[in-house]
Amino acid sequence: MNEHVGMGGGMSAGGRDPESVKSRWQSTQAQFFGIGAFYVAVVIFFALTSDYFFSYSNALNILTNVTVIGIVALGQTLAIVSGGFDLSVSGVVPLGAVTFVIFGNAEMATPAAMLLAVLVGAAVGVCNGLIVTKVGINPLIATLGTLSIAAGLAYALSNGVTIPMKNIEVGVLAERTYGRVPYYVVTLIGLSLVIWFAMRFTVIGRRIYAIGGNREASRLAGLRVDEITIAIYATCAGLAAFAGVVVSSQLLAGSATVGADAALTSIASVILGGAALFGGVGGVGGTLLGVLVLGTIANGMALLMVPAFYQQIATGVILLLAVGFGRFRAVMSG
Amino acid sequence: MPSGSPEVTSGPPLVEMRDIHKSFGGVHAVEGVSISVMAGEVVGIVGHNGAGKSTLIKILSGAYQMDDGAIHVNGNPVGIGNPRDAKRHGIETIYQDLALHDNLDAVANFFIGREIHTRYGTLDNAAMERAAREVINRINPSFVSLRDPVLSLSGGQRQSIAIARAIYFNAKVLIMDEPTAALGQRETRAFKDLVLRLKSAGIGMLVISHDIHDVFDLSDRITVMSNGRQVGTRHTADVTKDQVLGMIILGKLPEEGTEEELAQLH
Repeated sequence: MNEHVGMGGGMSAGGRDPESVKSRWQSTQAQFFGIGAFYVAVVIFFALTSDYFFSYSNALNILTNVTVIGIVALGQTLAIVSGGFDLSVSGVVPLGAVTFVIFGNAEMATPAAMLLAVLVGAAVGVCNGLIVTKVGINPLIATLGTLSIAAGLAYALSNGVTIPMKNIEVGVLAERTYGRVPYYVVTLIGLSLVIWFAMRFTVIGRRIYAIGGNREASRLAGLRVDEITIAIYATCAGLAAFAGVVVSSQLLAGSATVGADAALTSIASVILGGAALFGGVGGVGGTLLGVLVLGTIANGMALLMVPAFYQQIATGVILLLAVGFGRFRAVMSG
Repeated sequence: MPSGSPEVTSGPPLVEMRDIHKSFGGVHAVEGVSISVMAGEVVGIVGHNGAGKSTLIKILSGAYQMDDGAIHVNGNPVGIGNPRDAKRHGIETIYQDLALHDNLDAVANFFIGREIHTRYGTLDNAAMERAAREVINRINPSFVSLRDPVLSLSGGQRQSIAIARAIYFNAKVLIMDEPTAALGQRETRAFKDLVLRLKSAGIGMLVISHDIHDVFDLSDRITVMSNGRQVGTRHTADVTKDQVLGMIILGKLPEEGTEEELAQLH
């Protein structure tokens, strides 16, 4: 544009003092810090009540136990930040687990079997994306349908029985590396860094937030909203299938019964981490914190010999408290 | 009075829409409307709610696809199938709701879809902030909060962002849907000043407004729409406000209205 184009009078609407900018920033970050503070409190509580809790091997236990849900939650973060949801992960995790073992048992090279399992998952994700964008069905309903289909496929492919790995070397991801850390934990950290970087610093990441913030404005701005949405669902389901690969590596077998809690726990983690239910806000850091909170509470309660079904109750209560607290804060700050 | 201003050049119009038709279900939103904009010209579009003004301009901006008709840019027929096509032809739009992303800051809103990036696909935030600050501050010198989500900004500040990003990317034609609706008196004066500067830069503008006074202040020509049809187009210098109001209310040209009808307007 030309230099002389400008508004003489200026469209002033009152400058903003640095204090209000600061307080605003604090309020956006409050949920993240709130849940962080809560996590510290949880750790302190269990460290005081259980002798074994605060130890390296238990920290490793927690990381090991949250890896599968962590990988699913990374994909779920993309889906939720872009204004969607993916329930189908509960079907794609077992589908990935079963197909990985079937391919591995067919004498296929392990990396190829992993890649194929992930591609099968991604294909389910492409279907999710097409149903949501081209058919126009609400993501909750669309992915509820494909959840059922993917889970059914996993049962059909495995004839409803657990398929053992013929060659235990296929389960290489569960092997341990430096400091007894399994490879899949390293993989979770690597995937987290990649997705964090993509969401935070790249053009596509910026556009994911834009679509989640205002889908129609994104279309009017010229974004390829449908294509990006399909890619997001493909990535989310691909990650879920990879989480299934990790489960199979841990069990040295493929079973259609794994991962049923993946959808609810991953969504709970993402929301717990400060993501907005209707998109546009959220991120990898918050999600991982949410995953850790739920995983640590489950671990601590197990150490305290609390029956497993109480963990489910605790998860629900914490989620409601966290979201309710966020809602309360939003109402108070107008 | 900008009417008949010398900046309006001859030659083919920057943009011409010919005999445009658009229906939603069974409802004819736009029926056989034709408009054109010359370089440096401001064309006002007026009419009641539901007259089809917004539908017409959304066809030009690529938000809707027309059922029938033709669009010419610089005399050449073009297809506008989506907002990207419109932008490629230099057609930029300031929507009535501004089409901002409340969760993103001013800089991100400014560049959304046209981000400055490195060759690795990472955002060049520093370059974007420099460019956005420069253009937004030219429009609104008091604008400082470029890094806050625009949700927290005032109506005038939000409008500054929408205007700034529309003019930054070499727009040849600007579409503005109710541009002064969210502005106070002082801001509206500043906006009118901006329109004059854009005119002298040779930019053509289509302005939808409810405010007949604004339209008379800004426009070289006025197109009146009623029930999806074009009542007529007149040079602003050739009509009075009463005549245009008559066209809006009666849906007829001034010379077609009967004495009784015209009398009822007063």
